[in-house]
Amino acid sequence: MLRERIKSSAIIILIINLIFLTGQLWFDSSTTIGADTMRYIRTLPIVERIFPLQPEYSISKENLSRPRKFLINDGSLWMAYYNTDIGFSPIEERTSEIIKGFLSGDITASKKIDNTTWEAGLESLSIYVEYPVSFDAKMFCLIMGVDEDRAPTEISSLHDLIILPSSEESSICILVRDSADNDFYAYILSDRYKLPASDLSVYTNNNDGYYEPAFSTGLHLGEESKVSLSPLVLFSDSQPYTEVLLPHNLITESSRNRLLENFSFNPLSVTPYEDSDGASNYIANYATAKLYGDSFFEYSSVSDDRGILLDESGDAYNVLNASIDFAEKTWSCVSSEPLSILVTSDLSDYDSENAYTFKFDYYCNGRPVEIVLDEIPGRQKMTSAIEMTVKGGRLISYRQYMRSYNNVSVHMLSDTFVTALDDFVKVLDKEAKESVTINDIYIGYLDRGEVGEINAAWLAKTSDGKIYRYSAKEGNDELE
Amino acid sequence: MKKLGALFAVVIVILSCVSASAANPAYISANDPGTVHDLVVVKKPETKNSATLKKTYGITGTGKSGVKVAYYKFNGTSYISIKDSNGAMAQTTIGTANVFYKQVALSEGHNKFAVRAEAPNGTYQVEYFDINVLNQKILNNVSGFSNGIQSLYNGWMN
Repeated sequence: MLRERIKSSAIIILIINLIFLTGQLWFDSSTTIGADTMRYIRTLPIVERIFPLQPEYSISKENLSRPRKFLINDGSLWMAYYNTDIGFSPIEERTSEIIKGFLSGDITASKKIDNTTWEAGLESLSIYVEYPVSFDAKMFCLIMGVDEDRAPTEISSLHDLIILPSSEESSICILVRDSADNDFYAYILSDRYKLPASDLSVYTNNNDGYYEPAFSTGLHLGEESKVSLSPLVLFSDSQPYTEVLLPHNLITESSRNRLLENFSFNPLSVTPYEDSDGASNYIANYATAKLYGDSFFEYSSVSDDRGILLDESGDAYNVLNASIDFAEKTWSCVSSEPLSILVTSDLSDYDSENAYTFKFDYYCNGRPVEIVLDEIPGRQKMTSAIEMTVKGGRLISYRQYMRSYNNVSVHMLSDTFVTALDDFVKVLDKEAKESVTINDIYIGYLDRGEVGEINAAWLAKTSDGKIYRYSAKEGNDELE
Repeated sequence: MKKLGALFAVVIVILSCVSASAANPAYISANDPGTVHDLVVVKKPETKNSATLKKTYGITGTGKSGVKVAYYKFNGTSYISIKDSNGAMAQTTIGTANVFYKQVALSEGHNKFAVRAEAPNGTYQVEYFDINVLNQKILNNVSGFSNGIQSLYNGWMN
């Protein structure tokens, strides 16, 4: 009797163990089988109906309104925060409320100002707010969750602004540059918004780095050179530690099928043909899809009205949101990691035919990864991680370089800001036919589609839209 | 004759070493006039005596490509070279952009600095300057000034 009980207990324990281990194998999303199973179960119609999917965006629609950087002048020093720095969020929360107040039209006075006053604003106690791209003013209101009809009408496009703190005598003042026509305006907010000057030093207490805008250095490059510096290029004296990245191509046999299904191809019924360039081509549903190796995907519809329907309204804001949703969905076909991207094409200049082209870049460790894939037969040059064109609410073109990046080690950046600046000036003086302005110098990564580790380097963005890289170790590159 | 030849060779070797390592010294005296005055122009601070509210300050200037610039702080008797994050003497060689830039930490009160620029041919220039850091009390009073841009709008605010 006792023996039977022991036997039964052992069998029960073994069965429980078996169920537990099988469950782990099938449902643990960190394993390949588990991730596939979970993805399959989550897309079952009945499951979707009972538990509607709540998309988790690494770049949520709200995050579109995230500034790229803050430059805080507390009177005793300047401090810059990029949008992935520790300490960025509290400033964002504080300034977001103020900017929403401005967009809501909660202002008591406004005035057109000149460039000199704008620069005086930067020299004063202030928070300079810069967005990654130029936004159409109405779209910016919608992204910020503010009624677009109440926003100041004179601003058509917005890229940066300056917040001047309040005092006992005065309310917060906001200086805004209209990025479309480079006009400047000043607005006094109602006194319900407060930002005492003393609060600025709370944000500058982080002494990890110190940045100084070019206009404050007294240095002008343009005197004997064709190259000049934007007044807002940030000088730095530090050589920070940066992560070394190892890229991984993401298109596998199974993810390829999911990818094709996402673009309305049936991988079981469509037979690809390989062209002379080595790309796999799929043709179906008035569209073509191309796969180059295990990292590059391209889709295009044969005509504008045959593309994948993303949004019927045709409204720029809705189209942008639908496009980001689609990019997220596409990414989930090849990776279980969150998609970390930022919009890098201006959101202020649209085609009159209701066509929108969006560009997105990957971000790693808070630094941009600039992707430059040279043109090869059958494939155009690629200068963003994702490029998509939506016309009449339909996706007519989509290109993505599908790579993820792992941190493998940490190195101190080998070059200083001034060393990099020297090299940028040298290269630009040689190349540029006319005068050119360096709009920004920052640390980022360059991915040229090669195998092997990628080190961070100084990058410069110029007024003609080009990006240059400097690295003493790896030489310099013109990226675009 | 052989001894003279050997002596001559030794002198040549020593001189070549000196010229090859033409670089700024670890410290300089408080009144070194330099040998030339046209190697660099200090852009910031703009004057020999200046005041600031900043606790970290960027010394900037322009100069000829190839000139080595070192930065010194007065310790009461002489100017000692400022060290970089690796503990080595902070020294930069001016490049194609023809600029130099060095961030230094300031303490409250008077801060005496010097910049020594040395050309590859051994000629050098020394520039001395004082930066006075205003104290917190003055800073608070000056906040009104710094924040004074708002006074531009007082006319239309009220």
